[in-house]
Amino acid sequence: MLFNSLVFLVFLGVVLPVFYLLPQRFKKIFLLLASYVFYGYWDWRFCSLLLLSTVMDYYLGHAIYTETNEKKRKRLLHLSLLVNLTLLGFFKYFNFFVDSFAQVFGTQLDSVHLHVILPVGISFYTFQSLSYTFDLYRKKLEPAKSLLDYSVFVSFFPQLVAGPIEKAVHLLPQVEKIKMPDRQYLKEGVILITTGMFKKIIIGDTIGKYVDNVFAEPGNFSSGELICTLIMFAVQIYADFSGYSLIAKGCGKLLGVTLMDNFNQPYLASNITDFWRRWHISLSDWLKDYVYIWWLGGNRKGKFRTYLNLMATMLLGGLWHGANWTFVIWGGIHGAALAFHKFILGDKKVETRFTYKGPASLIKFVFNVFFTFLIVLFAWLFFRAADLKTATTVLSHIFDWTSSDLIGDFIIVTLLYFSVIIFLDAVEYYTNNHAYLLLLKPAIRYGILIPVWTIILVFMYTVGKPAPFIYFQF
Amino acid sequence: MRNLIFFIVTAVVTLLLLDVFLKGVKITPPILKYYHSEYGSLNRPDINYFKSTQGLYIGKTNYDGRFRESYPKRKKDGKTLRILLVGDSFVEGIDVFSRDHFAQYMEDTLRKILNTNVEILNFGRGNCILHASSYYFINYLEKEYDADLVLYFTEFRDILPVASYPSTSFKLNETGTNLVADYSWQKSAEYNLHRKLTSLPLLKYYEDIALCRLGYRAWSGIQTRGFLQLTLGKFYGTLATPDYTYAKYDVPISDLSKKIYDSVMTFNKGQIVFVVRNLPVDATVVKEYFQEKHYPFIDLNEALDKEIIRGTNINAYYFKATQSYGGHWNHAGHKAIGHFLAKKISDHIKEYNTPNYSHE
Repeated sequence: MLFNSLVFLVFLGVVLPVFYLLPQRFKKIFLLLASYVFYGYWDWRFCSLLLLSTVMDYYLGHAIYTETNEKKRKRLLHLSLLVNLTLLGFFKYFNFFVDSFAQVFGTQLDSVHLHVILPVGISFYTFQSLSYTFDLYRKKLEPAKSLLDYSVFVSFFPQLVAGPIEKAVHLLPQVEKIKMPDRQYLKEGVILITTGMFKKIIIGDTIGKYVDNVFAEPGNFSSGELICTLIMFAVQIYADFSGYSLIAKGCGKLLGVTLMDNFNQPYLASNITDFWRRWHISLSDWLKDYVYIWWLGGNRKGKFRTYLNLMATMLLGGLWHGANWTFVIWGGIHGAALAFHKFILGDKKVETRFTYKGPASLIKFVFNVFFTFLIVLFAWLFFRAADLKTATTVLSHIFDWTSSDLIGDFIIVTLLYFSVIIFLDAVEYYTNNHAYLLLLKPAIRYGILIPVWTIILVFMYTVGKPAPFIYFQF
Repeated sequence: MRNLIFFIVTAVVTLLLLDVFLKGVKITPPILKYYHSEYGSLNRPDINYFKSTQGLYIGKTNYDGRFRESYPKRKKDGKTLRILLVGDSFVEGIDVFSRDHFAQYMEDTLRKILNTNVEILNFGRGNCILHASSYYFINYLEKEYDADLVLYFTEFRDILPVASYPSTSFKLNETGTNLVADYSWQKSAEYNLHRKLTSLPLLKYYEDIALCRLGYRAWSGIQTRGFLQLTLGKFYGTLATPDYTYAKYDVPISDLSKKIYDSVMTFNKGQIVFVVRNLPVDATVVKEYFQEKHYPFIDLNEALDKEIIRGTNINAYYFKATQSYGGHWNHAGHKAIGHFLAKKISDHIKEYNTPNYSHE
């Protein structure tokens, strides 16, 4: 079920009152059922995979935690990793490796190709389950009190299919003590859902009409149009994914659960390290904690190894997004940029928030934000392109410096979308609050909320089939 | 009271800002259709338009509601070859930018081959098939515009004995001997809703408000799919697949259509050349009729082998962005058709009756 569909609003309209009215002891069971209905709406067969992954990780987790023999614990951890990554690998990477093998050795392996559907959100819930196992192994967490608690933690519908990838240490205790949301939670929930819907439906989905068409056949567009479209994609993916995360967080609030922030005004980052503290925070945290620090050793093994570790982590992050070399390149660009930033930064602390110290500091900040955005934009090209051929076509056409009759229209459209998204971020940055509308007087707040919801609802009825979230494919 | 004023002011400002934004990014174009008292449904003139259902189109209609350059009605000189394109959405061609429309390729190619000035005026209109387009052509275009050559696109829907388009169309009189105008579109629910809306003072300019434009589209969506299906999705049931069979077109050409083709051929300013489209149904009976009557025609089967451009393995109908087949010509399709038609015209230009154009 898509958050931006009318059926989801109906679903929420049914789930919330029932959840509030049910006695405490039935709340979790109901939430679990609702989450499986939400997930099974795509294809009920996916539910079995989710169930399998949940049951297996719950019992393996328990065994890892209670086992006293270190060797056996390690073996159990490896078993959990093997099963989770095999499932993920089978559904997500099998064809990629077959294709790559065939390309390298110049063979035809079409018969080996599998026609499997990628279960929605498999990367997200697999990583979430793994975090539980890892934390149990490291004794940073106690096992879930019951299979029901753990099942709700894995399948919690607001964040099941596209995150935030919650660590058990944060979400599990909230699930175990699930509570009725208070008034503040409800207000925040509504505001977050509204902002998320606005970002997704009014910005992300509409701008996608330009981006999809241009990237489908970039050879038909001029340099200026391609540059504008690349900027539009930067807006689209941010509006789409941060919109999803806000709706997820808002739904969580309405169910009495606080999910982590997944985005914090990433395009206002003044360096690439700062960008990764603001973009898809749950994934970067996951990769930082479990891959960069725990597995690779972080910066404890010398400077050169630190740079290599950063690169390896980001390459893995790229591959997490999908089985395509374009994602590997995207990860590589970010890895190289992070390593280079680490190199020039030395032991200095990363600047994460702008403080005004005169006009020079503002100019420096704007320049840094712009430069960081350029790096991110360049990397987006590879992220969006369907394959390397498309990416090189876009690049070569950009450097043709051709003009066109529609460049004026493209510039205006790009500027409008970009200004709206930056304006919303600037307000968030300034107020340091995602639910900033709550800071306004109720009359003004409702004066904004009602027209926005009117437009959102009318939009929902104009599109027969709501556009899926970009991150669902991952 | 103060709160109510705050609320109203904020709501109005929010709506205004959203209106500016939605129109600025072009995604809420005005309703393309408007009603002319004589001709019925036409394209609205001088509006910015955006379409992304198959490919992408950004552009503007001209003073005549058409999606191409605004050439003056009268031709400049005898050395200019002026071609009018008449037909349906394939001719209208708003799934690609105007610069990629087949008319542009034709114009460029013909200019080079004939070494003369070429003007191509596009009078294509979505869904406007022979019965309606011919009425507009005979009563308006023929009289108002100079043309040396008219490429009149025709296809399988043109053979039916009834029109199904909300415009003034031709029908046969009671004895079946003459063509008369059919104004039945004036009774349609959509026309009457539109008339009512525009007669209300507050809604007179509803077309200029983004929310109203969206509302109109939402209303159309609800009419097509039903409120419950749209709201409840799969919980309500899966949407019935439209009937894409074309059995009803496997019939002889109607007397009405024959009469219309004959009337169109009486055009006396220049040459009429029919262009017969082949997908989704090859209009064989139309071609046979043209052969029988010795009407000049171009068969697009020569350019396209069903949906594939001849001599290549490129699909002329597939739009990658929307992953849609069978709608209209994509970029490659327009290019192939443009070059093909230019070649055909240049090959036969000396045989055509073009009294107001001299090619030396």
